[in-house]
Amino acid sequence: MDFTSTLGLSAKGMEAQGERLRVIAENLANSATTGTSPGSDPYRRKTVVFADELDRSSGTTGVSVRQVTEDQSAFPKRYDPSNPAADADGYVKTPNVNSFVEIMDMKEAQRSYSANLNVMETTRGMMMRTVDLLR
Amino acid sequence: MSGSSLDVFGVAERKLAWADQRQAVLAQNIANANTPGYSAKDVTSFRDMLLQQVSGASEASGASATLARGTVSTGRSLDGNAVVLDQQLEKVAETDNAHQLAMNLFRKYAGMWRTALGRS
Repeated sequence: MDFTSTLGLSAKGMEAQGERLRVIAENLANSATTGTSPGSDPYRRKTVVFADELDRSSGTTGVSVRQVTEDQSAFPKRYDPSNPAADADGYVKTPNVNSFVEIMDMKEAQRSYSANLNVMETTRGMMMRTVDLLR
Repeated sequence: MSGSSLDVFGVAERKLAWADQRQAVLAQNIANANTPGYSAKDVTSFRDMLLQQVSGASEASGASATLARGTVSTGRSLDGNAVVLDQQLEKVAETDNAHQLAMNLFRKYAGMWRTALGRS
């Protein structure tokens, strides 16, 4: 373990949180995407699953996005007979995306991202101090 | 270069190595702040590590901070993660201070040597 592996760990953390943010953006962008044919399913909310990942060369445990799963909760229905995706009774399935949940998720991702950045800055300061010893 | 009985350079060096190692462990915790089932880790305190090295025969292995798993007794979130971000960041700041302290000690002591050698 040295400072470079510490920086690598933080970078991996930031990468994972960035990926999470991308999925959140996807969900928010598609929060009104309905199906195209009558009775078809609309956009399904996605979630990321993180997993710790052992790096055997340095003995540290980084983080990675293991998979992007789909939220299997039920779709809310809205009465809108004129919509092309409406079923025989005139109901349209809307995405199971709750914008409040997404925003909260986004805040958490941001917080984790800044925490990783903070560690990186601190580590950099420590490295610099060590290098300064040569002066 | 340990002229006196107090090996300042040796202790400072060990403290730097300890801070280095702790920083890596804390970075690990923070990177895994959203990993399901992950518990925060920490290294043994510098004092304990030094005592172990002084008393134990494992002097040759040098500074080796051992991982103490899941010592933090805070609650877990729903996904089984037990990393408290603020706590970890506080530890990062603490480690940074420890590093700075050791580094200043090193520098001052080296300065004293330089003075003794007459090179200001």
